[in-house]
Formats: sequence, C-alpha cells, structure tokens
Amino acid sequence: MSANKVKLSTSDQEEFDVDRDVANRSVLIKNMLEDLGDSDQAIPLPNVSANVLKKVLEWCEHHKKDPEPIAEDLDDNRRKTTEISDWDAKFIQVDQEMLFEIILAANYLDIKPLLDVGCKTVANMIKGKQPEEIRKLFNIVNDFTPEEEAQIKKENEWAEDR
Amino acid sequence: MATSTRPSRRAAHTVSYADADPDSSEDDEAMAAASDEDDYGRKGKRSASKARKKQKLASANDLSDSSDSDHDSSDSGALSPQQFAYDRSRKKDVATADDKVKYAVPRVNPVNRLPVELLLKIFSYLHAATLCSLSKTSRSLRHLLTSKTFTSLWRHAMRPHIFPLRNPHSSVTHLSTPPRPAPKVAGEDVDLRLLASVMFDTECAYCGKDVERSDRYLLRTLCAECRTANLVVSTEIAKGKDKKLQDLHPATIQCVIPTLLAPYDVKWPRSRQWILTADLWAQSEVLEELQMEDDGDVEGLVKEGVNVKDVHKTLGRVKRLKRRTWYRKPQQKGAQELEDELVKMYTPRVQEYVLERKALLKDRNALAQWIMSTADALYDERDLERGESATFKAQVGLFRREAILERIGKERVFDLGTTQRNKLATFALAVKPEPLTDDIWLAIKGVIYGFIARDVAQNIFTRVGKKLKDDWDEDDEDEGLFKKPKSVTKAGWAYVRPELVKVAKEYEVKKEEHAAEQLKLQALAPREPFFVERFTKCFAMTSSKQAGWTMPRYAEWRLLPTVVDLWNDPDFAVDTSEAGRADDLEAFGRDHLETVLDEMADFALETRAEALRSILAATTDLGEDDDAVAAFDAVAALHFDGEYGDPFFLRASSYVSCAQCATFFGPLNDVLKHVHQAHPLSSLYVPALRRDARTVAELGPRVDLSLEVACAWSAILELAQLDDTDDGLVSDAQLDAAFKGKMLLWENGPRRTKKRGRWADLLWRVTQAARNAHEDGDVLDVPVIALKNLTRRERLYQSWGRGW
Repeated sequence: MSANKVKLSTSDQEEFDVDRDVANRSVLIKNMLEDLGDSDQAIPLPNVSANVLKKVLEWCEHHKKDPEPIAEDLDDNRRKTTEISDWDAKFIQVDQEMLFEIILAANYLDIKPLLDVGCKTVANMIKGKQPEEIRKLFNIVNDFTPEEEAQIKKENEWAEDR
Repeated sequence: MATSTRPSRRAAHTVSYADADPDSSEDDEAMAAASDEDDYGRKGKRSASKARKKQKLASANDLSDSSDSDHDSSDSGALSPQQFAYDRSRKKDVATADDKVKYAVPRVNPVNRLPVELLLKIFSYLHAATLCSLSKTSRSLRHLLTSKTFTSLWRHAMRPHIFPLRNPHSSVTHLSTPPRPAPKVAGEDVDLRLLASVMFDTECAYCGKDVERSDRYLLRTLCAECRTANLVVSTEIAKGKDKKLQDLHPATIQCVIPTLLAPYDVKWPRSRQWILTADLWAQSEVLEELQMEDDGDVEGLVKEGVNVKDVHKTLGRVKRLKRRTWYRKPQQKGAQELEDELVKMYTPRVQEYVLERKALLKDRNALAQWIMSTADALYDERDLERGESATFKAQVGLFRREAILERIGKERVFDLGTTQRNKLATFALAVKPEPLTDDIWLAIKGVIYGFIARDVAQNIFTRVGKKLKDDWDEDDEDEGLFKKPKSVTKAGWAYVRPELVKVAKEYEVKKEEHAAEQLKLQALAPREPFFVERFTKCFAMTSSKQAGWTMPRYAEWRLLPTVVDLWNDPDFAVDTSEAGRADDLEAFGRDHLETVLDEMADFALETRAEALRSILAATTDLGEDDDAVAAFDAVAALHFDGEYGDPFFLRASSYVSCAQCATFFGPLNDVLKHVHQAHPLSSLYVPALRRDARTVAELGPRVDLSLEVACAWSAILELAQLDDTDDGLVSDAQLDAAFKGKMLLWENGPRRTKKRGRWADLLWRVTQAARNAHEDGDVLDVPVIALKNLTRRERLYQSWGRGW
C-alpha cells in the first residue's frame, strides 16, 4: 500500500482505494488518518453505503485542489444565498433518495462544502413554493384535522389574546 | 312599480348568488340604504363575495378537468381547485398530449430522513414566507417550526438583510447594521412566526383574492375591493348618517384599532383613520357587556348624555389641541386632560377596558412603525426568492435536457442537429424540473424518441417531392416516401416510420378538406347576390316598419331552415344567366316564399320570447326555473297578437341592452332597431369561431339583460323616482330632468369604474363591467348607486354649457 492511498470500507463491505488528498476532503477521515498514522487497515464507514460513497468521492475528486474552506463568517446581517457552482449544481442532480443520502454522508464525513451544496439544493427546491406544492414535492401527506386547518387559517389574522 | 321592482330584484339576487344572503331583511335594508349618499354597513357584501369565490372555484374546477389532465402525470392525486387556481398562472410550459407517460419519482419527506440540525440549516436559507407555507404542510413540520428550537430561525428570517430594491444606488446591498428588534406588544414579545404568517398571507381574509401585502395597522390581509366596502372613516361614525352606526357603544371609537392606509379607491386620501366595520361591532359588543356588568353592580352609575356624537366631538377637540398651527404650539397637556375627563365619564369596567385598549393601540402603532421599517426589505427579499426559485427551476430543466441529449448521443438512435436540440426545449417532459435518473430515462425514452421522430418525419415529408406526397404506398420499402434515408439510423427508422405514415395521412386529410372547401366556395360564390336580393325583398314584405325590427338580419335569415335547404341545394340559383335567374326567381316565389315568410315571423316571435325570458330571468326569481318560463311563454303568447308596441316591453322595468355594444339601452323595439341599423350582420362569418356560423345560436343573441344591469337600472329609476309612472314609459329627457344638478356614482363597482357621471354613463359602465366579469365566469355584486351633488367645478362647467 503506497503512502498516498487510503482504503475505505463501506457499510455494505465494499472497499475503495482513494488518493489521500481526495480522502482528506473529509475532516472525519483526515482526523482518523492523523490519529492512526499509516496503516493498511481499511477505515470503516458504517454509515455510508457504496453507491453514496462513490458519489461523494466523485465530488471529492473534483474538489481535491480546492483551498481549505475559510470558516464561514457567521454574520447574521447578510442574506444567505443559495448559489452553487455549475459543476456542483449538475453533480447534485440526483433523485431525492440519493440527495438526502449524500447530505447525511457529508454530515457524517464532515465535508462542509458538500453539505452546503446539498442543503442549498434542498432549500432551492422548497423556495417560493406554496404548501400544496411542497406536499407534492416531497410526497408529504396533509395530516391536519379540519379543526387544525381552521386554526391555521385563523393565524392569518392577528388576535391580541393569543 | 315601486312595490313590484324591489322584491323582484331581491329575489333575483338570491337566485343568482346561490346562498349569498340567508338574511334577506338585512339585505333589504342595505338596498334601501344604497341610494343614500353614505352607506357603509354593507354587511351583505361579505357573504356575496364568498358566494362569488365559490362560483369562481367551481368554474376553475371545470377547467381543471379539461386542461390540467396532461400535467404531472406522475402524481396520481387530483389537484384541488385552489391549487389549480394557483398553478394556472405558473404552468404555462408547453405541454402536449404526448407526454402522458407514467413513471415513479422517488419522493422522500426530509423531516423523516434528516436530523433536526440539518433541517435547521436547510431552513435557514429560506424566506419567512416560505417558512410559513412549510409550516402549513403537515403536522410534523408544523410542530417542528413552532417549537422553541426554531425561534432563532424565525428571528433570522424576519429581519431584513438587504436594502429595499427601490434604493437607487444598488440592486442588492446588504445591511451592515442590525435592525432594531420588534417592539413589545402588551408587555410581551411579538411572536415572529405569527407576525410572518400575517405579513406574508396573500389571500384576502374576506373574499380569498390574491393580495400582495397585508395591512400593517390592522394586521390583516384585505383586497382593495373588500377594503373599500368594509372600511369606515372614523369621523363619519358620529355624523349619524348611517343609522346603524349610532347604536354603537359610545366608547367604541376609542377601543378599535384604526388603519392609516386609505382604501385603494380613494383619491387624494387625507390623513384619516379608517376602521373596519367588523371591528367596530366586535368592540361595541365587548363594551356593552362590560357596561351591563357595571349596571348590574351599582344602580344609577349610568351617566346621562354620553353618546357617540359627544365622544367624537371631544376627540376632535383633543386632536385639534395636539396639532401645531401657525398661531399656537401643540397643547399636549390640555389634550391629555380632555381625554382623561372623557374616560372618567364611563363606568369603571369600561374605563379600565378603554385604558387598556389605548395602551394596546400605542403598542400596535409602534409595531406598525417597525413593520414599515422592515417590510419593504422583507417583501423585496420574498420577490428575490421567487426569482431564485424560477431560476433554479429553469436550471434543473436545462440539466435534464442536457442529460437527455447526452443519453441520446450515447444511444446513437438519432443524430440531432442544433434545431432539433433546441426544439426539445419546447417539450414539457424534456425540461421538467426534475433530475433525470436511469429509471426515469427508461420510462420516458419512448416518448422522447417519438417526439424527435415526428420532427424527423415532418422534415422528410417536407423535403420529398409533390409526386411522393400525393402518391405513396405504405408497403413499398425500397423507394418512394418510405425509403429509409441514409441519415436516419436503423433504430431511429423504427420510430420515424410510423410517424411518417401519420404525417402523410394527416396531410391527405387536410388536402381533401381544403379541396372540398375550395370547391364549395367556387360553386356558391355567384349565389350570394341572389340570396341578398331575396332577403331584401322578404324584409320589405314585413307588415309594418315596427314589426320589421324584430325580423332577422341577413345572416340570421340565411340560417332559417328553408333558406339553408335552398343554399345547400346544389342546383338552386347556380345559373347566373338572365333566363336562369328568372327561373330561380319564379321557383322561389312559387314554392318557398310563403314558408320563408312564416319562418321569419316565427323568428320574430322567438326573438320576443327570448327577450321576455332574459328580462324575467334578470328581474324576477322565475327566470331560472324552466317550468316558470313555460308558464310565462303561455302568458307571452297572449301578448304577441301582432302587437309590437305591447306594453310589457315598453315598461321601463323591462328595458334591455344591445348585446353587441354596451351603449344602447332601451325598450326592446328600439334596441332591435338599433341592432338592425348599427350591426346589420351582412356575413355569416363569426370571428370568435373563425368560421361561418352554422346555427342562429352561434351568431349570438341580439339583446340581453344581465342581472347587474337590471339592478342598476331599477336603482336609477328609484333614485329618479320614476318607477311608478302610470304608463311605465321613461324617456331619456325625463331621466335627464330628474338628475339635473346631480351626479351618479357606482359605489361598489370594480376598479376603474368609480367615476361620477350621467345615468347613461353609469349604465354603460355597469354593462361593460358585467360582461367582462361574466366572461371570466364571475358575477358582480348588486350595484350600489349613490346620488351625488355637483361639485363646484362641475357646476361651473355646466353653466358654461360643457367642459373643457
């Protein structure tokens, strides 16, 4: 095993050989590697399945040369934009199942830029939509009782004693 | 007449608006008040508009059956009417019948899949308006968004982050300083979630119409029409012109929360306070209750002489004291004393309540100020977000098309040129804002290839010569139309060939139709003058000039059964030689003239019956019912003894308007005369159908009378006090004389109709507006017409004889 290759094993026991700088995009793996030092042992990723990891690694491969993300200024004064780069936008064109898997994997592997891309995409999907459209989008069942519906309707008017 | 018009009008009202007015006595009062100059308490309005909404929804429902079936076939659930009404504006993409293909799209509810912190992260990108609609989707989301964890989210969402776009120096500039927090109301923090749901509610609370912004003082969303109908100027309450408002508890005016935003239709609004009538009554009720409790406690506490007028006078004095003028400074202290004194006149519980409400009013004004400081930016952010949403949708559609093109390129079935690639963008299925996965591609592949194949087939068909187009053999594979061109692959040909057959067949059908049309035109052309001449002669034969106007016009005459038969007879009147013409003329005179004249008389009778029916429909409650119409037909038959000046149609209450233009309104015969002279209908061509009419019904009615016009007319008669003249006849001169020195105003008309004018102008406006509304499947409320005195300027113009 060469020094710049890393072995990852997924939840369904598949093993991936990855370049070290690709794997380093994940803060989780990076920290693990630093802790473990060089070893031939595969790093187990019990929360990620093979097809998701493949997709995530595709992203890491493309972004391996990116500079380290600067800590996002937590400035509450700025409007949060949901703009993402073209490559990322195209990359994230997957079905919802996969999209949420990617988000979860990015969260677990601690790849912040990828997590941002995923979250912004979901936000973009929801943006500017009416309740009924959102329900259709995510197949959400309207489980309000008629009384609750009435109460929601009443919220549109301001009442002092609420 | 007065006694008969009023109830009939009310009856028509109830018939048309379904369950609009369960309480008819109140409506009657409202109608009586309608002719007064000041009329605020139109309580019938709300229910009428509700019914209107219902009707709208119903018509939207009808539409959804026909046009929405091809959208989103992946979703099995039927669209609700509301949703359809919403979607109608947005879904203008080109959807054809071909994209009826079913495939499953995996849809996952994020709430079930993602942990709360990730949801929080996602939601932090969203605008408060979207968060509101999210919280209305399902229980779990609502629970989440109303929980304590998400308060910070709402705080973030409800603060503006950009300068409003009207700022000329920037498109989007971020604010650098944090805006001030929302003020407290009644000692408590404002629930920003509730505030957001009030601010970004886009439905009118009364009629459900779409509204851009809500009223920051009332904290309620109302459309322009409902505002005009339901807001009262605070100073008008005490004037006592509206008798109802005098029953209010005297302290009411101090307890309601007014808005400073004038209703939409007021020109040059002065700084006044406008109050919602519903609020007035609600507050008055509370006060009365408190008063009753007080009265029960202690006898003799009731102060005499406190009435609405007094309270108002004092309040006016307070207002004047607070105002700065050129001769004195505002006298805050004096004003305060006056106000305190006024409050002391009430009973203790009322006193307490009034003071409480006054404090609240102060807080609410502060809140309104705060909203004003943030609202522009927040609404702009909402618009920005809508734009971003559209951009995202387009982008995803683009990606989908690219992915499809990529796959087509890989599969090598078709080799697409630039034009064909671009054409794919017009195919709804290819640009649907959904990512393309392998499964979806498999499902839609056939349809997409079919779409391309049709294009290819059309190209092939356009390019082959005339000989191949006219004479093709479906089985001939080696040459002719169905020889596979080199540029099409074998796999592609499998798709193209059936399309090519279809295209060729369509071409043939079209060709045949065209040829038949041409042939017909050629054969018929010389006959037209002959028929026109016959019509003129027949028309001249009618018994009297007055009877003539009920007779058909040329196009209507052409559609009488006998005339249609003659026209369709290929042998009749084709010979244009003199001898041939003479023969035709003789044959017509001998065999057909009698029947044609009879049919014309029938038509005239039918016209009058039709007019009678529409008049009855608009003025009484019998019109809608078929049995009643039959009964009235019998009555009508008695009237039609060849007497064209029959009294029913001459009565002012049964005037009709010309169906072609909105300007003519009068007795049936006058209108028919106008129709003959102004709209002679010399051709059968109907522009709306883009072809000749085939039945009389397609030509449209000659006269009509909509419910709104009938109501407006009877209101005008009532205002002119002319509806009880003995012979029922009302001339223009009479009306002009009655309204001399007065102007009429349609108070509850739609926008742009609130102009003062003569009675004829007003009638024209109502007719036009009613027709426009009917076209949209809508009905107008019963017109409220007010009589106004002339302004100084108008008097001046009239004394000069005319205006500018």
